[in-house]
Amino acid sequence: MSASKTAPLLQLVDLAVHFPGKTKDRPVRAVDGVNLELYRGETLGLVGESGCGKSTTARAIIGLVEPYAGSVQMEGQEVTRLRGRKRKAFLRQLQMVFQDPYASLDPRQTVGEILAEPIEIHGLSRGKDKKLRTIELMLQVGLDPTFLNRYPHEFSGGQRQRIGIARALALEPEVLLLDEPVSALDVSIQAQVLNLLSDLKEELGLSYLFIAHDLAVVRHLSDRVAVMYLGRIVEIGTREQIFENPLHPYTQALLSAVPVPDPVVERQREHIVLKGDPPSPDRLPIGCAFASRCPVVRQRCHGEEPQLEAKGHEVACWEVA
Amino acid sequence: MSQLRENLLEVDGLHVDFHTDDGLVHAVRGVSYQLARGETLGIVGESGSGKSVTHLALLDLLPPSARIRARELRMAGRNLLKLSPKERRKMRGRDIAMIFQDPMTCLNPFLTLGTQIAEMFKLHQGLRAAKLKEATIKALHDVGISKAEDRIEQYPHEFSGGMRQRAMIAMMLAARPDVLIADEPTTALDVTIQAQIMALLRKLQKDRGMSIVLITHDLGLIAGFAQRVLVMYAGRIVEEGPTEAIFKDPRHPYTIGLMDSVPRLDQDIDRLKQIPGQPPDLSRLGQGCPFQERCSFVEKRCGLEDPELKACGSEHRVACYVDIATAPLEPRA
Repeated sequence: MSASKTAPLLQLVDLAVHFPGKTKDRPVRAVDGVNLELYRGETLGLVGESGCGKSTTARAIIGLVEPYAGSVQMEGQEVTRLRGRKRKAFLRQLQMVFQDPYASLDPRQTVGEILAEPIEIHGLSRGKDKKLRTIELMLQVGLDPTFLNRYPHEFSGGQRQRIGIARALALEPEVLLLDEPVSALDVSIQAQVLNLLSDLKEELGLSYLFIAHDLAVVRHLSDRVAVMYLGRIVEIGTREQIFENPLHPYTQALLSAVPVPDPVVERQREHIVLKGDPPSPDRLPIGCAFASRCPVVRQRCHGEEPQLEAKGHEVACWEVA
Repeated sequence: MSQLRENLLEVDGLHVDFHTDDGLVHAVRGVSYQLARGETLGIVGESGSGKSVTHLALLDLLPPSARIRARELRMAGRNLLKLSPKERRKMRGRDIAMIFQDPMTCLNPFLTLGTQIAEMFKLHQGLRAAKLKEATIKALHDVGISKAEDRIEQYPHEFSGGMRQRAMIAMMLAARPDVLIADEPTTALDVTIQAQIMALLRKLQKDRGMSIVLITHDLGLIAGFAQRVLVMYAGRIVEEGPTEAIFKDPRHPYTIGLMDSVPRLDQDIDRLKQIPGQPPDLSRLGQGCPFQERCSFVEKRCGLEDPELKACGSEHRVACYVDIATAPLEPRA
């Protein structure tokens, strides 16, 4: 739950990540001025479509890409330029789980080695204690510890994702960045992993930044939700605010486009079908980035970019009163 | 089934096996269904359930390692199994066409989009020169691609994922098929683009009276588009029926589990129900029902023989020994 009065655990201030574009004067502005706070014990969902910058945001937080501008703070401390021992200390607090459980595990390491590696690098335990810790991690994620000698290819997708989660937990972090952790899994396996994530959060007192494109999954897991479009946050609020009373026309379109698994409900729902594709992030328009697809666009939207403003909850749109 | 129903496609007792290094994999194990003219049939199931392989077999698109057996495969009255490879090839595209999940891997990266779409008009309608170009531009226009005159000169990498899928649909339409197999047509696309593509398919179906087989893992899409649903598990159909019945009154424990395990956009669910375990290895199937190890209603006879599909309502059939509606036991937690 968001305890808004306390200091955030993780804070992004005007975070921007730019990549070199086709020409020098036209960089790809993947993340372009993102402000976010993650509070202790909450799950903050970050949603948006491919290319909106949600994964890049996570990668910038953990230092897999270098921010172009802005800052990432963990408990008030700037972490973007940390090196050496200080960076190691930061990574003990924050770990990441990746989308593809096939690509994110070393095929030549046994599960035992995969889980022991972070423990060794951070010098947390050795010998028998280390072995016991890997057994504990396996049990925590619902895997049989007798499988520690097996290799990743001997596991199913769902089991591999559990290994990825166990690896992230090895350092006893406070925050997990979950980047599409269930989108590569079959429906019946998704539920298993989502339930595991809920249980772990409660048992271990974790905080999650949960990145996903599947809005139903985000609703299920998140306390608060931020909606991204082309590198910007366009709306942020509690789960109820975003799902029951979306204000931004993009959020409204996004929610209306998700089919509901109930034929009676689904056939009566109104679907907003947006025109066209999002513009390319190396040629963002002046004004609101959503203007080219927006069903309620006005003249002003093409000239001035709206900023996040509290209008019930925070939304960046000129049309919302 | 009503007598008025005109079945375009009839699949009877289809089996597909693959010879692999791990032994014989029984990918499809006795699938039978009919598709009526103008109907949208939804097929749900997880990876490895046989939903794609069934349809690749219909189009004769499986690798040589596949062994296909069936009592009958009929398309518009003709028995596909008795046709020569040349005749099968002629039917493909013209009578029954398929679009796939990843439009990038289906397009030739070295040819312009115009060339690839024009090829279809040449092949299936014998168009040439100015008429060919005109038809190509119109096809792109029909699937909602603007500035089609310029777009035909571009290569696939210059298009977004949604545009590529539109281009695939344009190619498919050139052959004017009666049946479209859409295999996860929007899974690789963003949800706002998915809405565009599904709206397009719906319009084309209405205009042309096409039948569509919609293969997807997304129960929401099925709920919105399909009139009838087949639920597949481990190479078999475990339940089939009208969409409303399948969602309101699912009878197979797997279907029930699937419905309960998806989070909902329109409601809060405290805790998801999960189906324990994972689908069986199709090269090592044991005796009896393939779902028995994950099933909360399992009985002794489930381990002995695989249940056949049996009627359990109007046009509703299920392959399960247990009558869920009257099952005396609370499902095992």
